[in-house]
Amino acid sequence: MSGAVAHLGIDLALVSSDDLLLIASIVAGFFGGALLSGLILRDTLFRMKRRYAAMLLVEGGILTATMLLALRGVDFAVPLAAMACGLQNAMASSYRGLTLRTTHVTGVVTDLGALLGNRLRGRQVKGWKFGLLLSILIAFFGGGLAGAFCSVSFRCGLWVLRRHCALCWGL
Amino acid sequence: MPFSKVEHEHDVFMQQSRVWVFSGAALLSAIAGYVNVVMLGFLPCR
Repeated sequence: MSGAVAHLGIDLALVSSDDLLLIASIVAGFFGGALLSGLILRDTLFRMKRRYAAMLLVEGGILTATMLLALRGVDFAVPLAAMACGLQNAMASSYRGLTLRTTHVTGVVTDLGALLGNRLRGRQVKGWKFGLLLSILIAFFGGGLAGAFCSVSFRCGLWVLRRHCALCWGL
Repeated sequence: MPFSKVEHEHDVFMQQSRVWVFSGAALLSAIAGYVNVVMLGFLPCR
């Protein structure tokens, strides 16, 4: 989001209307996804498993639509992908009051740095916090690497999105 | 709810469901990473 919002400023300065619309749609899509998550979950505390299941079903549906549109080269796939990310980020953020941001790498690295700083100052820091943040960071990197391999080496990046849709529905 | 109580609840919850939370969060992150990279690859070929 930081990159997209910063890009909006560049597009405005360069009066690049095509890119401006696309980038604005990414911000709007992400916001829409987070909004949808708030509407479905209604609460910041974990209460009903069913709500999370519904969220994952919705995410799987959005990713399927993204894949189908992207395979046809339709630009609307981009805000849809952003929407799936916004939905997922907001969903995980509200899990049992734990601040888990699965698409927000800046926040993860910030938290890791702050925790390590506290630890170096001699404060006791819970091991699971380090582990959780590290697993999120490594998994995001791994997912990105897999995406790059699928897109560049095998040229099947968009098709493999099917697996992710199936994974969301399976969960 | 006091912060210490929230922390305690998180600790208890993580003791009970650490594997599930870790793998769930990692799986969702991996999906997000994948989608980000694939969609970045989609943009230049519009």
